[in-house]
Amino acid sequence: MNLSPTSRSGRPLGAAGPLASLVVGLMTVIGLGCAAVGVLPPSLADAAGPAPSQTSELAGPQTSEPASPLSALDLRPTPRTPAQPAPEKPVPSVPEPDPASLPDIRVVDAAPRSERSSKAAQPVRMRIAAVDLDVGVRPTGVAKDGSMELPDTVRRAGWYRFGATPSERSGTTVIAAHVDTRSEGLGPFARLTSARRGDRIIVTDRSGDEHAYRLLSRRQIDRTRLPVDDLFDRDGPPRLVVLTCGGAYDARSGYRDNVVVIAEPDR
Amino acid sequence: MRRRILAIGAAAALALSGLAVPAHAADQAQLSVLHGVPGLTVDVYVNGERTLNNFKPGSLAGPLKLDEGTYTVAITAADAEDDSDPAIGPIDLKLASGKNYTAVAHLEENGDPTATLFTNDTSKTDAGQGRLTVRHVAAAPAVDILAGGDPVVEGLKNPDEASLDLDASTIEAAVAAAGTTEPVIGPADVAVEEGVLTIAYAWGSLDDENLKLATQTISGLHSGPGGVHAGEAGLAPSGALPGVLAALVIGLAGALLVRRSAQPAATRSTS
Repeated sequence: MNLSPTSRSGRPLGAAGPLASLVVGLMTVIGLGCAAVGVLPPSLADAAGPAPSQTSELAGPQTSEPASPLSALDLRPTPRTPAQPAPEKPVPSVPEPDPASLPDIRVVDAAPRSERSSKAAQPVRMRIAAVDLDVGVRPTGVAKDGSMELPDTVRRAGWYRFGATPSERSGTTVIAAHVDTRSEGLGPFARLTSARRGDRIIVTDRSGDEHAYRLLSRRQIDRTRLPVDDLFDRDGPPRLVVLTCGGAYDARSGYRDNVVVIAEPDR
Repeated sequence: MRRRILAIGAAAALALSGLAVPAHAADQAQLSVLHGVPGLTVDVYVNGERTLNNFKPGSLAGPLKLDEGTYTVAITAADAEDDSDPAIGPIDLKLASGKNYTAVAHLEENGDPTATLFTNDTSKTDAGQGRLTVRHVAAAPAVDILAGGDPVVEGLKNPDEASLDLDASTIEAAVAAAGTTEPVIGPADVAVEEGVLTIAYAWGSLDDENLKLATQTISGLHSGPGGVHAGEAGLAPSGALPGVLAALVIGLAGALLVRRSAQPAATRSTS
Protein backbone atom coordinates (compact mmCIF):
# COMPACT_ATOMS: atom_id res chain seq x y z
CA MET A 1 0.00 0.00 0.00
CA ASN A 2 1.46 3.30 -1.05
CA LEU A 3 -0.23 6.12 0.73
CA SER A 4 2.14 8.96 0.90
CA PRO A 5 3.38 10.07 -2.54
CA THR A 6 0.04 11.46 -3.58
CA SER A 7 0.46 14.31 -1.18
CA ARG A 8 3.87 15.21 -2.51
CA SER A 9 4.15 14.63 -6.23
CA GLY A 10 3.33 16.78 -9.21
CA ARG A 11 0.95 19.17 -7.55
CA PRO A 12 0.93 22.82 -8.67
CA LEU A 13 2.20 25.14 -6.00
CA GLY A 14 -0.91 27.21 -6.23
CA ALA A 15 -3.00 24.37 -4.93
CA ALA A 16 -0.98 24.05 -1.77
CA GLY A 17 -2.73 26.60 0.40
CA PRO A 18 -6.01 25.10 1.60
CA LEU A 19 -4.84 21.59 1.03
CA ALA A 20 -1.71 22.13 3.12
CA SER A 21 -3.72 23.36 6.05
CA LEU A 22 -5.97 20.35 5.78
CA VAL A 23 -2.95 18.04 5.64
CA VAL A 24 -1.29 19.71 8.59
CA GLY A 25 -4.47 19.50 10.57
CA LEU A 26 -4.80 15.85 9.81
CA MET A 27 -1.20 15.24 10.63
CA THR A 28 -1.58 16.77 14.02
CA VAL A 29 -4.44 14.44 14.75
CA ILE A 30 -2.60 11.49 13.29
CA GLY A 31 0.52 12.34 15.18
CA LEU A 32 -1.22 12.25 18.51
CA GLY A 33 -3.29 9.23 17.58
CA CYS A 34 -0.19 7.31 16.62
CA ALA A 35 1.55 7.87 19.86
CA ALA A 36 -0.64 5.03 20.98
CA VAL A 37 -0.30 3.14 17.72
CA GLY A 38 3.40 3.73 17.37
CA VAL A 39 3.71 3.35 13.61
CA LEU A 40 3.48 5.95 10.92
CA PRO A 41 4.12 5.95 7.21
CA PRO A 42 7.26 7.97 6.48
CA SER A 43 5.77 11.09 5.00
CA LEU A 44 3.44 11.56 7.92
CA ALA A 45 6.13 10.76 10.41
CA ASP A 46 8.51 13.26 8.89
CA ALA A 47 5.95 15.97 8.99
CA ALA A 48 4.72 15.24 12.46
CA GLY A 49 8.11 14.64 13.97
CA PRO A 50 9.42 18.11 14.72
CA ALA A 51 6.03 19.67 15.32
CA PRO A 52 5.02 18.93 18.92
CA SER A 53 7.42 20.81 21.08
CA GLN A 54 6.51 19.01 24.29
CA THR A 55 8.40 15.94 23.17
CA SER A 56 11.77 17.54 22.95
CA GLU A 57 11.29 19.74 25.95
CA LEU A 58 10.37 17.01 28.35
CA ALA A 59 12.31 14.13 26.96
CA GLY A 60 15.63 15.86 27.24
CA PRO A 61 18.19 16.32 24.52
CA GLN A 62 16.83 15.40 21.13
CA THR A 63 18.76 12.75 19.32
CA SER A 64 18.51 11.72 15.72
CA GLU A 65 16.83 8.50 16.84
CA PRO A 66 13.24 8.71 17.89
CA ALA A 67 12.76 8.18 21.56
CA SER A 68 11.51 4.79 22.54
CA PRO A 69 7.77 4.78 22.98
CA LEU A 70 7.91 1.52 24.91
CA SER A 71 9.78 2.57 27.94
CA ALA A 72 7.81 5.74 27.95
CA LEU A 73 4.38 4.24 27.87
CA ASP A 74 4.49 0.81 29.33
CA LEU A 75 7.65 -0.17 31.06
CA ARG A 76 8.14 2.73 33.41
CA PRO A 77 4.76 4.08 34.29
CA THR A 78 4.68 6.84 36.80
CA PRO A 79 1.73 5.73 38.96
CA ARG A 80 3.22 2.70 40.65
CA THR A 81 6.86 3.63 40.72
CA PRO A 82 7.05 7.38 40.83
CA ALA A 83 10.18 8.72 39.24
CA GLN A 84 12.61 9.81 41.88
CA PRO A 85 13.49 13.44 41.55
CA ALA A 86 17.21 13.95 41.29
CA PRO A 87 18.05 15.46 44.64
CA GLU A 88 20.72 18.07 45.05
CA LYS A 89 21.90 16.51 48.27
CA PRO A 90 22.43 12.81 48.86
CA VAL A 91 19.28 11.14 50.09
CA PRO A 92 19.37 10.24 53.78
CA SER A 93 19.87 6.54 53.19
CA VAL A 94 23.09 7.16 51.32
CA PRO A 95 26.05 7.38 53.68
CA GLU A 96 27.67 10.77 53.88
CA PRO A 97 31.41 10.99 53.35
CA ASP A 98 31.69 11.80 57.02
CA PRO A 99 32.63 8.38 58.40
CA ALA A 100 30.81 9.04 61.65
CA SER A 101 27.60 8.47 59.74
CA LEU A 102 28.66 5.12 58.26
CA PRO A 103 27.00 2.93 60.85
CA ASP A 104 25.80 -0.21 59.13
CA ILE A 105 28.16 -1.47 56.51
CA ARG A 106 27.30 -4.83 55.09
CA VAL A 107 30.07 -7.32 55.79
CA VAL A 108 29.99 -10.76 54.20
CA ASP A 109 32.23 -13.78 54.04
CA ALA A 110 33.95 -13.57 50.67
CA ALA A 111 34.53 -17.31 50.29
CA PRO A 112 33.35 -18.48 46.88
CA ARG A 113 29.77 -19.62 46.59
CA SER A 114 28.97 -21.92 43.76
CA GLU A 115 25.21 -21.97 43.98
CA ARG A 116 23.50 -19.88 41.36
CA SER A 117 20.26 -18.07 41.75
CA SER A 118 17.61 -20.66 41.02
CA LYS A 119 14.77 -19.55 38.85
CA ALA A 120 11.99 -21.75 40.13
CA ALA A 121 9.32 -19.61 38.54
CA GLN A 122 10.61 -19.99 35.00
CA PRO A 123 7.73 -20.04 32.52
CA VAL A 124 6.69 -23.29 30.87
CA ARG A 125 3.44 -22.24 29.16
CA MET A 126 1.75 -19.10 27.91
CA ARG A 127 -1.85 -18.62 26.94
CA ILE A 128 -3.79 -15.75 25.39
CA ALA A 129 -7.30 -17.12 25.23
CA ALA A 130 -8.63 -14.12 23.31
CA VAL A 131 -6.60 -15.09 20.26
CA ASP A 132 -6.55 -18.83 20.88
CA LEU A 133 -2.83 -18.86 21.61
CA ASP A 134 -1.47 -21.62 23.86
CA VAL A 135 2.18 -22.59 23.63
CA GLY A 136 4.81 -24.35 25.64
CA VAL A 137 7.76 -22.25 26.76
CA ARG A 138 11.35 -23.25 27.39
CA PRO A 139 14.34 -21.26 28.65
CA THR A 140 16.56 -19.72 25.98
CA GLY A 141 19.60 -17.51 26.00
CA VAL A 142 21.59 -15.71 23.35
CA ALA A 143 22.18 -17.01 19.82
CA LYS A 144 25.61 -16.91 18.19
CA ASP A 145 24.78 -13.70 16.37
CA GLY A 146 23.95 -11.98 19.63
CA SER A 147 20.20 -12.00 19.17
CA MET A 148 17.76 -13.72 21.49
CA GLU A 149 17.84 -17.48 21.01
CA LEU A 150 14.51 -18.99 19.98
CA PRO A 151 13.20 -22.54 19.69
CA ASP A 152 13.43 -23.79 16.09
CA THR A 153 9.75 -24.55 15.99
CA VAL A 154 6.76 -22.24 15.87
CA ARG A 155 5.03 -24.54 18.35
CA ARG A 156 7.18 -23.46 21.24
CA ALA A 157 8.27 -20.13 22.64
CA GLY A 158 11.48 -19.16 24.35
CA TRP A 159 11.77 -17.42 27.70
CA TYR A 160 14.88 -15.23 27.99
CA ARG A 161 16.51 -16.93 30.95
CA PHE A 162 18.78 -14.03 31.82
CA GLY A 163 15.79 -11.80 32.43
CA ALA A 164 13.11 -11.87 35.08
CA THR A 165 10.69 -14.64 35.95
CA PRO A 166 7.01 -13.86 36.51
CA SER A 167 7.48 -14.10 40.27
CA GLU A 168 10.14 -11.42 40.43
CA ARG A 169 9.18 -7.98 41.57
CA SER A 170 11.13 -6.10 38.97
CA GLY A 171 12.19 -6.46 35.39
CA THR A 172 10.61 -7.88 32.28
CA THR A 173 9.79 -11.50 31.62
CA VAL A 174 10.47 -11.86 27.90
CA ILE A 175 8.80 -14.60 25.85
CA ALA A 176 9.33 -14.83 22.10
CA ALA A 177 8.66 -17.25 19.26
CA HIS A 178 8.95 -17.50 15.50
CA VAL A 179 5.88 -16.25 13.68
CA ASP A 180 6.64 -18.81 10.99
CA THR A 181 9.25 -21.25 9.75
CA ARG A 182 9.80 -22.53 6.24
CA SER A 183 9.02 -26.09 7.25
CA GLU A 184 6.02 -25.41 9.46
CA GLY A 185 4.41 -22.31 8.03
CA LEU A 186 2.64 -19.90 10.31
CA GLY A 187 2.53 -20.67 14.00
CA PRO A 188 0.37 -19.56 16.92
CA PHE A 189 2.36 -16.35 17.36
CA ALA A 190 0.95 -15.10 14.04
CA ARG A 191 -2.22 -14.47 16.02
CA LEU A 192 -0.40 -12.09 18.32
CA THR A 193 -1.28 -9.31 15.89
CA SER A 194 -4.93 -9.78 16.80
CA ALA A 195 -4.37 -9.40 20.53
CA ARG A 196 -5.80 -6.25 22.01
CA ARG A 197 -5.35 -4.01 24.97
CA GLY A 198 -6.99 -5.60 27.98
CA ASP A 199 -6.58 -9.19 26.80
CA ARG A 200 -5.60 -11.57 29.55
CA ILE A 201 -2.33 -13.46 29.29
CA ILE A 202 -1.62 -16.40 31.57
CA VAL A 203 1.92 -17.59 32.13
CA THR A 204 2.34 -20.89 33.94
CA ASP A 205 5.65 -21.46 35.69
CA ARG A 206 7.54 -24.64 36.40
CA SER A 207 5.99 -25.06 39.80
CA GLY A 208 2.50 -24.89 38.30
CA ASP A 209 1.67 -21.39 39.48
CA GLU A 210 -0.26 -19.22 37.06
CA HIS A 211 0.66 -15.59 36.60
CA ALA A 212 -2.01 -13.39 35.05
CA TYR A 213 -1.23 -10.34 32.95
CA ARG A 214 -3.33 -7.71 31.23
CA LEU A 215 -2.21 -6.56 27.82
CA LEU A 216 -1.18 -2.91 27.83
CA SER A 217 -0.07 -2.40 24.27
CA ARG A 218 0.80 -4.06 21.01
CA ARG A 219 3.04 -2.41 18.48
CA GLN A 220 5.10 -3.12 15.43
CA ILE A 221 8.60 -1.77 15.64
CA ASP A 222 11.32 -1.81 13.03
CA ARG A 223 13.59 -4.64 14.09
CA THR A 224 16.66 -2.47 13.70
CA ARG A 225 15.23 0.00 16.18
CA LEU A 226 13.97 -2.39 18.79
CA PRO A 227 14.72 -0.80 22.17
CA VAL A 228 16.22 -3.98 23.56
CA ASP A 229 17.58 -2.51 26.75
CA ASP A 230 14.11 -1.30 27.67
CA LEU A 231 12.38 -4.49 26.60
CA PHE A 232 14.92 -6.69 28.38
CA ASP A 233 14.90 -4.50 31.46
CA ARG A 234 15.80 -5.95 34.85
CA ASP A 235 15.19 -3.10 37.23
CA GLY A 236 11.89 -1.52 36.28
CA PRO A 237 8.39 -2.63 37.24
CA PRO A 238 7.42 -6.25 36.53
CA ARG A 239 6.20 -6.67 32.96
CA LEU A 240 5.58 -9.40 30.46
CA VAL A 241 7.01 -8.72 27.01
CA VAL A 242 5.91 -11.00 24.17
CA LEU A 243 7.77 -10.77 20.88
CA THR A 244 7.59 -12.16 17.39
CA CYS A 245 8.18 -10.91 13.87
CA GLY A 246 5.84 -9.15 11.49
CA GLY A 247 5.46 -6.40 8.99
CA ALA A 248 6.75 -6.36 5.46
CA TYR A 249 8.88 -9.30 4.43
CA ASP A 250 12.02 -9.22 2.34
CA ALA A 251 13.52 -12.50 1.14
CA ARG A 252 17.02 -11.38 2.07
CA SER A 253 16.56 -9.47 5.30
CA GLY A 254 13.41 -11.19 6.56
CA TYR A 255 10.64 -9.41 8.38
CA ARG A 256 11.06 -5.72 8.84
CA ASP A 257 9.35 -5.46 12.19
CA ASN A 258 9.01 -7.03 15.56
CA VAL A 259 5.54 -7.38 16.99
CA VAL A 260 5.86 -6.21 20.59
CA VAL A 261 3.25 -6.95 23.19
CA ILE A 262 3.61 -5.52 26.66
CA ALA A 263 1.49 -6.65 29.58
CA GLU A 264 1.37 -5.83 33.25
CA PRO A 265 0.53 -8.11 36.15
CA ASP A 266 -3.23 -8.39 36.58
CA ARG A 267 -3.77 -8.14 40.28
CA MET B 1 9.17 1.67 2.74
CA ARG B 2 10.56 2.35 6.15
CA ARG B 3 8.23 3.32 8.85
CA ARG B 4 9.23 5.53 11.67
CA ILE B 5 8.31 5.28 15.27
CA LEU B 6 7.35 8.37 17.09
CA ALA B 7 7.25 9.04 20.73
CA ILE B 8 4.77 11.81 20.95
CA GLY B 9 2.65 13.13 23.72
CA ALA B 10 3.15 14.65 27.09
CA ALA B 11 2.52 11.37 28.92
CA ALA B 12 5.26 9.67 27.01
CA ALA B 13 7.68 12.49 27.48
CA LEU B 14 6.96 12.74 31.18
CA ALA B 15 7.52 9.05 31.66
CA LEU B 16 10.75 9.30 29.70
CA SER B 17 12.08 11.91 32.02
CA GLY B 18 11.57 9.38 34.79
CA LEU B 19 14.13 7.16 33.13
CA ALA B 20 16.96 9.44 34.10
CA VAL B 21 19.31 7.99 36.67
CA PRO B 22 19.23 10.06 39.84
CA ALA B 23 22.16 12.39 39.64
CA HIS B 24 23.63 11.48 42.98
CA ALA B 25 23.78 7.79 42.09
CA ALA B 26 25.90 8.47 39.06
CA ASP B 27 27.97 11.09 40.79
CA GLN B 28 29.07 9.03 43.75
CA ALA B 29 31.86 6.52 43.98
CA GLN B 30 31.30 3.04 45.35
CA LEU B 31 33.91 1.49 47.59
CA SER B 32 34.12 -2.03 48.92
CA VAL B 33 36.79 -3.27 51.30
CA LEU B 34 38.26 -6.77 51.27
CA HIS B 35 40.34 -8.09 54.12
CA GLY B 36 43.00 -10.41 52.75
CA VAL B 37 45.60 -10.55 55.50
CA PRO B 38 45.47 -13.94 57.24
CA GLY B 39 45.29 -14.20 61.01
CA LEU B 40 44.67 -10.55 61.76
CA THR B 41 41.35 -9.15 62.91
CA VAL B 42 41.39 -5.41 62.34
CA ASP B 43 39.56 -2.13 62.64
CA VAL B 44 39.37 0.14 59.63
CA TYR B 45 39.53 3.89 60.05
CA VAL B 46 38.42 6.29 57.35
CA ASN B 47 39.50 9.90 57.75
CA GLY B 48 40.36 9.17 61.39
CA GLU B 49 37.01 7.61 62.32
CA ARG B 50 36.56 3.94 63.02
CA THR B 51 34.37 2.65 60.21
CA LEU B 52 34.72 -1.13 60.38
CA ASN B 53 35.01 -2.91 63.70
CA ASN B 54 36.51 -6.38 64.22
CA PHE B 55 36.88 -6.92 60.49
CA LYS B 56 37.94 -10.51 59.91
CA PRO B 57 40.21 -12.02 57.24
CA GLY B 58 38.28 -13.20 54.19
CA SER B 59 35.49 -10.68 54.78
CA LEU B 60 34.14 -8.18 52.32
CA ALA B 61 32.52 -4.92 53.41
CA GLY B 62 30.43 -2.50 51.44
CA PRO B 63 29.81 -1.08 49.03
CA LEU B 64 29.90 2.37 50.54
CA LYS B 65 28.56 5.16 48.39
CA LEU B 66 30.93 8.05 48.79
CA ASP B 67 31.21 11.47 47.27
CA GLU B 68 34.14 12.02 44.97
CA GLY B 69 37.30 12.87 46.87
CA THR B 70 40.32 11.52 48.67
CA TYR B 71 39.83 9.34 51.74
CA THR B 72 42.54 8.39 54.17
CA VAL B 73 42.32 4.81 55.32
CA ALA B 74 44.22 3.26 58.19
CA ILE B 75 43.99 -0.34 59.34
CA THR B 76 44.78 -1.17 62.93
CA ALA B 77 44.74 -4.15 65.22
CA ALA B 78 41.19 -4.73 66.47
CA ASP B 79 42.04 -3.63 70.01
CA ALA B 80 43.61 -0.31 69.02
CA GLU B 81 42.32 2.83 70.72
CA ASP B 82 42.66 4.93 67.57
CA ASP B 83 44.46 4.96 64.23
CA SER B 84 47.72 6.45 65.53
CA ASP B 85 49.61 3.16 65.14
CA PRO B 86 48.20 1.48 62.03
CA ALA B 87 49.23 -1.98 60.91
CA ILE B 88 48.57 -0.96 57.32
CA GLY B 89 48.58 2.56 56.01
CA PRO B 90 47.52 5.22 56.34
CA ILE B 91 46.92 5.29 52.60
CA ASP B 92 45.06 7.84 50.56
CA LEU B 93 42.30 6.53 48.32
CA LYS B 94 41.39 8.92 45.53
CA LEU B 95 37.86 8.11 44.44
CA ALA B 96 36.27 9.49 41.29
CA SER B 97 32.54 9.90 40.83
CA GLY B 98 30.72 7.11 39.05
CA LYS B 99 33.52 4.60 39.56
CA ASN B 100 33.46 1.37 41.50
CA TYR B 101 36.43 0.44 43.69
CA THR B 102 37.63 -2.27 45.98
CA ALA B 103 40.32 -1.50 48.54
CA VAL B 104 42.12 -4.68 49.52
CA ALA B 105 44.22 -5.13 52.63
CA HIS B 106 46.58 -7.93 51.71
CA LEU B 107 50.11 -9.28 51.70
CA GLU B 108 52.78 -8.31 49.28
CA GLU B 109 54.66 -11.03 47.46
CA ASN B 110 57.26 -10.99 50.26
CA GLY B 111 54.63 -11.27 52.99
CA ASP B 112 54.51 -7.64 54.19
CA PRO B 113 51.01 -6.27 54.77
CA THR B 114 49.86 -3.56 52.39
CA ALA B 115 46.72 -2.18 50.81
CA THR B 116 45.82 -1.76 47.16
CA LEU B 117 42.97 0.15 45.57
CA PHE B 118 41.50 -1.61 42.53
CA THR B 119 39.07 -0.05 40.07
CA ASN B 120 36.35 -2.53 39.13
CA ASP B 121 35.42 -2.76 35.46
CA THR B 122 31.66 -2.31 35.54
CA SER B 123 31.29 -1.50 31.86
CA LYS B 124 28.45 -3.30 30.07
CA THR B 125 28.80 -6.96 29.19
CA ASP B 126 27.36 -8.50 26.04
CA ALA B 127 24.06 -10.32 26.38
CA GLY B 128 24.65 -13.81 27.72
CA GLN B 129 28.04 -12.99 29.15
CA GLY B 130 29.52 -12.23 32.53
CA ARG B 131 32.91 -10.81 33.45
CA LEU B 132 35.57 -12.51 35.53
CA THR B 133 38.35 -10.46 37.06
CA VAL B 134 41.16 -12.25 38.88
CA ARG B 135 43.45 -10.44 41.32
CA HIS B 136 46.67 -11.69 42.83
CA VAL B 137 46.91 -10.32 46.36
CA ALA B 138 48.74 -13.23 47.97
CA ALA B 139 52.26 -13.68 49.32
CA ALA B 140 53.24 -15.86 46.38
CA PRO B 141 55.15 -15.57 43.13
CA ALA B 142 53.45 -15.20 39.76
CA VAL B 143 50.56 -17.55 39.15
CA ASP B 144 48.43 -18.91 36.34
CA ILE B 145 44.65 -18.97 36.63
CA LEU B 146 43.14 -22.20 35.41
CA ALA B 147 39.58 -22.73 34.22
CA GLY B 148 38.63 -26.36 33.86
CA GLY B 149 42.32 -27.24 34.15
CA ASP B 150 43.48 -24.95 31.35
CA PRO B 151 45.33 -21.69 31.93
CA VAL B 152 43.19 -18.68 31.02
CA VAL B 153 45.44 -16.08 32.66
CA GLU B 154 49.19 -16.61 32.76
CA GLY B 155 51.97 -15.05 34.78
CA LEU B 156 49.79 -12.89 37.03
CA LYS B 157 51.86 -11.12 39.69
CA ASN B 158 50.97 -9.53 43.01
CA PRO B 159 49.17 -7.03 42.98
CA ASP B 160 48.05 -7.31 39.36
CA GLU B 161 44.70 -8.25 37.88
CA ALA B 162 43.29 -9.68 34.66
CA SER B 163 39.77 -9.65 33.26
CA LEU B 164 37.87 -11.69 30.74
CA ASP B 165 34.30 -11.77 29.53
CA LEU B 166 32.85 -15.26 29.37
CA ASP B 167 29.58 -16.93 28.49
CA ALA B 168 27.61 -17.19 31.70
CA SER B 169 28.46 -20.50 33.33
CA THR B 170 30.03 -22.03 36.39
CA ILE B 171 33.72 -22.56 35.88
CA GLU B 172 36.07 -24.75 37.82
CA ALA B 173 38.74 -22.25 38.80
CA ALA B 174 42.14 -23.00 40.22
CA VAL B 175 45.37 -21.11 40.84
CA ALA B 176 48.73 -22.67 40.04
CA ALA B 177 52.29 -21.42 40.14
CA ALA B 178 53.07 -19.79 36.80
CA GLY B 179 53.86 -22.36 34.15
CA THR B 180 52.38 -25.25 36.10
CA THR B 181 48.94 -26.84 36.33
CA GLU B 182 49.16 -28.22 39.87
CA PRO B 183 46.68 -26.11 41.87
CA VAL B 184 47.87 -24.21 44.91
CA ILE B 185 44.33 -22.94 45.37
CA GLY B 186 41.23 -24.86 44.38
CA PRO B 187 39.85 -26.08 42.15
CA ALA B 188 36.68 -24.34 43.25
CA ASP B 189 33.44 -23.65 41.41
CA VAL B 190 33.06 -20.00 40.52
CA ALA B 191 29.75 -18.92 39.05
CA VAL B 192 30.11 -16.36 36.27
CA GLU B 193 26.59 -15.03 36.01
CA GLU B 194 25.16 -13.09 33.13
CA GLY B 195 25.61 -9.36 33.48
CA VAL B 196 27.60 -9.80 36.68
CA LEU B 197 31.21 -8.95 37.42
CA THR B 198 32.74 -11.70 39.53
CA ILE B 199 36.07 -10.78 41.07
CA ALA B 200 38.19 -13.65 42.36
CA TYR B 201 41.03 -12.86 44.72
CA ALA B 202 43.92 -15.19 45.44
CA TRP B 203 44.97 -14.21 48.96
CA GLY B 204 46.98 -15.55 51.90
CA SER B 205 50.51 -16.85 51.91
CA LEU B 206 52.13 -19.67 50.00
CA ASP B 207 54.80 -20.17 52.68
CA ASP B 208 52.21 -20.30 55.45
CA GLU B 209 50.10 -22.66 53.38
CA ASN B 210 46.98 -20.56 53.81
CA LEU B 211 46.31 -19.49 50.25
CA LYS B 212 42.60 -19.04 49.62
CA LEU B 213 40.09 -17.74 47.13
CA ALA B 214 37.75 -14.87 47.88
CA THR B 215 35.05 -13.59 45.56
CA GLN B 216 33.12 -10.39 45.13
CA THR B 217 30.23 -9.84 42.74
CA ILE B 218 28.84 -6.66 41.22
CA SER B 219 25.64 -6.94 39.21
CA GLY B 220 23.93 -4.71 36.72
CA LEU B 221 26.41 -4.91 33.84
CA HIS B 222 23.94 -6.69 31.55
CA SER B 223 22.76 -5.47 28.19
CA GLY B 224 19.88 -6.69 26.04
CA PRO B 225 20.40 -9.11 23.16
CA GLY B 226 21.08 -7.74 19.70
CA GLY B 227 17.52 -8.27 18.56
CA VAL B 228 14.83 -10.86 18.07
CA HIS B 229 14.71 -12.65 14.74
CA ALA B 230 11.44 -14.44 15.01
CA GLY B 231 10.35 -15.45 11.56
CA GLU B 232 11.77 -16.80 8.34
CA ALA B 233 9.13 -17.60 5.77
CA GLY B 234 7.31 -14.33 5.15
CA LEU B 235 3.90 -15.86 5.63
CA ALA B 236 2.64 -13.45 8.24
CA PRO B 237 0.33 -10.78 6.86
CA SER B 238 2.33 -7.60 6.50
CA GLY B 239 0.00 -5.89 8.90
CA ALA B 240 -3.14 -3.95 8.11
CA LEU B 241 -3.01 -0.37 9.21
CA PRO B 242 -4.29 0.05 12.71
CA GLY B 243 -7.87 1.26 12.77
CA VAL B 244 -7.51 4.87 13.81
CA LEU B 245 -4.66 5.50 11.44
CA ALA B 246 -6.42 3.74 8.58
CA ALA B 247 -9.52 5.86 9.02
CA LEU B 248 -7.50 9.05 9.00
CA VAL B 249 -5.46 7.99 5.99
CA ILE B 250 -8.62 7.16 4.10
CA GLY B 251 -9.91 10.56 5.06
CA LEU B 252 -6.74 12.20 3.83
CA ALA B 253 -6.77 10.29 0.59
CA GLY B 254 -10.36 11.27 0.09
CA ALA B 255 -9.54 14.92 0.63
CA LEU B 256 -6.75 14.67 -1.90
CA LEU B 257 -9.00 13.06 -4.44
CA VAL B 258 -11.59 15.74 -4.04
CA ARG B 259 -8.96 18.39 -4.40
CA ARG B 260 -7.41 16.75 -7.40
CA SER B 261 -10.68 16.35 -9.22
CA ALA B 262 -10.91 20.12 -9.20
CA GLN B 263 -7.59 20.42 -10.98
CA PRO B 264 -6.91 20.34 -14.73
CA ALA B 265 -6.55 16.95 -16.30
CA ALA B 266 -2.95 17.67 -17.33
CA THR B 267 -1.90 17.93 -13.69
CA ARG B 268 -3.61 14.73 -12.72
CA SER B 269 -1.79 12.80 -15.37
CA THR B 270 1.52 13.42 -13.65
CA SER B 271 0.59 11.35 -10.63
